[in-house]
Amino acid sequence: MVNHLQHTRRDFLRSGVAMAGLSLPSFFSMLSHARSAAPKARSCIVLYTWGGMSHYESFDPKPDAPSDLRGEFKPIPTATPGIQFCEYLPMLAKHSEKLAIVRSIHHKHGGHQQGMYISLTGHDPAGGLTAKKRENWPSLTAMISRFQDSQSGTPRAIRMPYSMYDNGKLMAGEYGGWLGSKYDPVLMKTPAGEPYRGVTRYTDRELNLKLNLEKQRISDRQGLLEELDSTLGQKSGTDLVYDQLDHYRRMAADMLLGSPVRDAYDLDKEDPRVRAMYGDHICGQSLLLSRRLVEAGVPVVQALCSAGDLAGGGGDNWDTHRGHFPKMKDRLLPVFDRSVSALLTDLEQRGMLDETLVVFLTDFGRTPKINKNGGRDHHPGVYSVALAGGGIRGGQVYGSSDSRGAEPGSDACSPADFHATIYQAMGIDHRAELHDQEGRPLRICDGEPLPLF
Amino acid sequence: MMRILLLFFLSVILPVAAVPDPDALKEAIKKNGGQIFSTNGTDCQVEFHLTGRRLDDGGLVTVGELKDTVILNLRDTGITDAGLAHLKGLNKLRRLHLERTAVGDEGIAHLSNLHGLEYLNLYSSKITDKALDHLAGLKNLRQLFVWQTGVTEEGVAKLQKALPTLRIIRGVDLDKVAAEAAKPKEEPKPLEVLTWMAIDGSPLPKSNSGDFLLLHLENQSGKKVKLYWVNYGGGLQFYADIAAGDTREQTTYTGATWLIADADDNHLGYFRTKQKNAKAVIPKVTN
Repeated sequence: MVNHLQHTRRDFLRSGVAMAGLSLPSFFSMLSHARSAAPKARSCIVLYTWGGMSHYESFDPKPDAPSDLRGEFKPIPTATPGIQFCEYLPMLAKHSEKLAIVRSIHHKHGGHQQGMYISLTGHDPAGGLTAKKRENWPSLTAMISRFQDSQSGTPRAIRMPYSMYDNGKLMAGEYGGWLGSKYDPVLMKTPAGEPYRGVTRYTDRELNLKLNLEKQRISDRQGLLEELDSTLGQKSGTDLVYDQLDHYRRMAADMLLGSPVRDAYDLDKEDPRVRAMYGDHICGQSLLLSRRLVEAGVPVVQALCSAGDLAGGGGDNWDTHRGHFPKMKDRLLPVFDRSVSALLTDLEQRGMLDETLVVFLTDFGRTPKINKNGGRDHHPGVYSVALAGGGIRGGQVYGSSDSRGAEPGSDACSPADFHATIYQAMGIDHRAELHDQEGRPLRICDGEPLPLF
Repeated sequence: MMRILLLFFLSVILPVAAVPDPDALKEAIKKNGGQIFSTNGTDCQVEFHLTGRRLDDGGLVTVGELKDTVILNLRDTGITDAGLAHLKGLNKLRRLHLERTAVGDEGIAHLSNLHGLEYLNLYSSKITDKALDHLAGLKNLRQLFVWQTGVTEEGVAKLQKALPTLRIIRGVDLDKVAAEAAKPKEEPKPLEVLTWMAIDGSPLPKSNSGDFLLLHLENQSGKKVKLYWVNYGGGLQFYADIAAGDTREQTTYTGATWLIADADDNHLGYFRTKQKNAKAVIPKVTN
């Protein structure tokens, strides 16, 4: 039933009108076409709960389900009559008037790599995915940055605080893909925040632009460029061509030397009370940094929301196969609740929320059945995502899961539909066509916007 | 002849001087670090907050002459009350950012006739309740930001009465938030510890069906043990090996029996779950 709905939607899109007349002669005409609608949101912050956040223990509690499905936690009322969240999101429950919750999103991919790929790109994964393949679809973050001008000499897209790995393998889906390496969102390590009852294990093996350089060293421009040259030089045996190298050099220099991003990155410049509001953990400080980057003119930022630092895959991510309830209650939900609530509070009180789209994404949901290790397993059959700010009408739920939280109950929708909604909020035509590096035309999104405005 | 020429010149020049060339204005604004966007070819969005923070009151003269401006962002710039006088004629203005500037009550008085205003951001400016009085006539105002200003509860209530559809965003009290965040975290309450029931020859109690809960098992016996669930009929169902020193989170139900046996299946003892999540420590067994 569910798949049938999805196919129908896609078939409709592939037919006729939507595809007609969109072969645009050049980048510029495409851009102006795609931006014809007045943008509602000017910046976007993507909050990603890597590992797969349980819909039951967040935005879609099932208090009336049988006890072996509903789990240990109770629902609590939110600021919106009729909408309930999990009891361990008490702060976020007060922000429900800002949130549009989608409870009927689903896909078919039960692996982290595939689930993350479709969630972040909006497209089904091809076989044999590897992270840096240029045939991959660009991430949402990269795609938005393709359409937004960076107005202040900042990078167009930044992601933090580390790359996604599963079992030591770098994941595909959060890069620029066929848009080219120029659109790979720049990785930033969050410069502050304790792991929350977790361990810090930065094991990122990628080019990281040396953002943790000490301050006196970054004031030495020449020294910095030499350092970058030597870092990049070590990679010269790979496919880095000169213009990409130059792009990174320029970006690194811009970011580190006196640009607004450099200032934004310095969290010591923030009011300590504001820092405390976000929470002294990597998630909180990452979201604070997201706000500061958006404020400095960066069009799109992606932050992984987790308790600690999960590079390597075994850390504090949302993949709760064992001890689901204690881990959610003691580690993951309190951090998420505080950090995300602080971000929404802060964007609102600074008058930034109506121009900033906040996107909640995850790999998939968790299984209805609680396994024998007290965990919930991967469940792409239905789960919850959300939007806030950026012209989105808050205080609403779109779609529903069935009574067991196993399948969509009404208004089934796909990651592509959710992406189309995001593009609409950003003033990007979701039917826009771009050309990959071989000149092949590709339509950026196969979904249709959900009525969340 | 001279007089006629002069008149001729005046008739040509004067209107031009009265309505400045928009392109020249835009050039001047850009020179000051401003950025100008247009969504429909006429309406202008003028921003200084990213690249024009050095803007001062003098720079607002040209800004005030670009009458098609609908959005103006002056965040973090060096403008003051006096400069806002230049904005009086921006009748199309819908959105105005004055946050994080030195603007105070006197400056806001210059905005009292900007009836198109829908959004006014004054957070972290110098305003007090007096500024709010100047805004009471702006019937189209929908959002007003006054976080970190001298505005009080009373002032907000008064303006709210005059403009019932206005959302006044006061933001959080950071001192309170910080104090709350600094409170020592409540440690999770220690789990109830279940009693170890050594095997004494009496029959094992059968499990009852009950409500879901979690059992945290710790093997302190010093050797590997086997975990069995005693089912509703009294039969044994193997669940797992627990290595010496290891722990295990076991989902179960209220009123369930969990049997511990050694590697040779000698029954050592059991736990009986109660109404709450609990801890079960498998003790050293002396034979």
